[in-house]
Amino acid sequence: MGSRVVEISVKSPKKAASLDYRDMSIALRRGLEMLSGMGWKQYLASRFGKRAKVTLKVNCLGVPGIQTRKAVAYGIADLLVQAGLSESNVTIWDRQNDELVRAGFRLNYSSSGVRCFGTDTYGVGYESELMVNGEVGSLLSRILTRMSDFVISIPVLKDHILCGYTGTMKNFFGAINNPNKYHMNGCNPYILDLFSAPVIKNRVVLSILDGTFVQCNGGPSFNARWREEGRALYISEDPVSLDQAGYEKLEELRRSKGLLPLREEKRFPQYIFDAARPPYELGVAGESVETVREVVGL
Amino acid sequence: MKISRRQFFTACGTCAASLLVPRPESLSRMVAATGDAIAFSLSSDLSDREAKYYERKQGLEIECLLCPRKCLVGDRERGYCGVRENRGGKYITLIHSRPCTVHVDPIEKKPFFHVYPASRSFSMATAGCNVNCKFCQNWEISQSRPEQTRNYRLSPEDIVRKAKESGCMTIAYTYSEPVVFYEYMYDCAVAGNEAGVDSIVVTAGYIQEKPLKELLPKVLAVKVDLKAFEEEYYKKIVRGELKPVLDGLVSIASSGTWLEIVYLVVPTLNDDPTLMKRMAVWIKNELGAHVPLHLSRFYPQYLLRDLPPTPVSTLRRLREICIDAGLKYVYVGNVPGDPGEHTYCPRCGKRIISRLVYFIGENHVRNGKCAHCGEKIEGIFEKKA
Repeated sequence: MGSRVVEISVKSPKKAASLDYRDMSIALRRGLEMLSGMGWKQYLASRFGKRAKVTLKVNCLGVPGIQTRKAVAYGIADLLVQAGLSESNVTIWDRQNDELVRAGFRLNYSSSGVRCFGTDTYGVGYESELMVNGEVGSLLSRILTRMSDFVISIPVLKDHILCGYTGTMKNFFGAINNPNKYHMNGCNPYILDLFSAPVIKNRVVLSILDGTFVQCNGGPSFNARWREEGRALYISEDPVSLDQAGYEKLEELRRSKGLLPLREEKRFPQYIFDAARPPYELGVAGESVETVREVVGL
Repeated sequence: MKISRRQFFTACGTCAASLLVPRPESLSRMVAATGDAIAFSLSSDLSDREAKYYERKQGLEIECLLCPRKCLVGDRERGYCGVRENRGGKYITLIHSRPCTVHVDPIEKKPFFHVYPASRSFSMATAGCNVNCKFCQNWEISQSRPEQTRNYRLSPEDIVRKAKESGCMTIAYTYSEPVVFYEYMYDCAVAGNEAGVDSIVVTAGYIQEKPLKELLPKVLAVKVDLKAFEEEYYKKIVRGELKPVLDGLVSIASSGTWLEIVYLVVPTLNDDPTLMKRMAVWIKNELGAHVPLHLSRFYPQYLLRDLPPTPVSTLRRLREICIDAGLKYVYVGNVPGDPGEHTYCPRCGKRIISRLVYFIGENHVRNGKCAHCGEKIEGIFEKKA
């Protein structure tokens, strides 16, 4: 299932913004089954076991309109618990508490229920030892380094004024103290130098790209004019394949809106394709990416 | 600041011991060894003051016009410096009146060797920097966002009052990069001028011409870290550009504001004698032979840990090259006890200011002239009445 990407479209009389975690659970179950070829519960149990600490890295920068939907994050959290993980071993996180709160998440630092907090929580913070990999030298969130055996990356599908597209690999700019240093040259090779650090690469075993809404231009911040309903989730174990699928969807939406291709705007996300090549080899890109699609009716 | 002979040698011994270790101490320990730490109450919030130099672009995007990087910043995003944030199309400086480091230092520590020798300087910094030098010795604050540092709440008036109370002749904007806290620095300088406390700036010089020219009349002196004399080094090691820095140096020199230059000599990366000679000639022709040049010793840290410290012999050879090229005042830095720490009269060659690390021994400059031969020694040695 390495380079397979599953695209689950949600068909429902509800508005996209009204889809809740139960709706998303249904879509996610089907998506995980299509991805793994086995029952979703069996897949999650085999992937994570029952004692692992699993954290869900969301992206709330684009709040209030283009953040990871809490329904998606709580949807997968619910499935993880149903698959046998203790609630307190599941943590939803991002860099800042205020962004999580504004995105609708309920902060929970306790040992009861699914936990949710930002790196800026008092007592959490960043490591004091510098992590150096390639051109990147950063302090990593302690949620990543100390509270995560595995990470599920749950970014949101967005255009980015500097690197063209932002998805699962760039999501980890939200796990370091100095992301502002790495936006030159279309964020290349910074996204890859960061994501290829073993402490990240080895933990991120599953990615779910939230395409409920898509910011097809003017991202990564929320820009109401260019936000479209996507009503889809993209799921893969391969971060490169997933980002390629997300990028292709973004281009498709941009075309439908009469926007120029990212290459013509000099914002082509070259990093996705570099990620598949040496020295990174973080996954598969190009024509060998297999995308399977299904519509789930609710 | 007058000290006795005993105090001088005791301080020198302590200071030399703290420096003669293979790897320099962390900033806070260095400061503790050589300056006076000052305690203030911490601030839990950041500033929301509007920044000065930016332009609104399409939608809510803005373009920062403070430094040559000209960051294009989306809503709720920050520029490269990490301390300026776009909030709904309004650009905010998060660190106005929020320094994370405040100390009283000898002015020689900046280093300024031709400004008020042996005086104390009220030194401060905020989080953030608009470059990312691989050898940065203060990366814990310069490469951090203000949420990640412990910040004080000190208005420009507070800074000036504390500087006067501490017996400081100057306020130094130093440690990280004052360009990123431009508005705060500017306001402190204005408040200081009204109260008779001068401002000195320690910077990489990576700033746009307009804000630089508006700042210069407000400050007494600027020390620029010229990191190298080739663009490639700036691109790879500094993550910036050389050209705007050279333009800035010319602006400073022609403004009448006192200028000194520090050049950190990194083995194999920027220690080419040919380039050094070219740089010295450029300084002489474009800025003036009187501009002091400090050649500083590199110690491995931050992202450049795989290089050895600069050999002292390299520093001495490069110093000779710069003197031969016509520069009058060339110093060796970060080498305690080196003869290159002293100031020599460019005419009679006699030692006129002796130093050990940050401390002054004898000073034979009288009314801006060599006490031995009467040659003019450029600098600001006494405060004008």
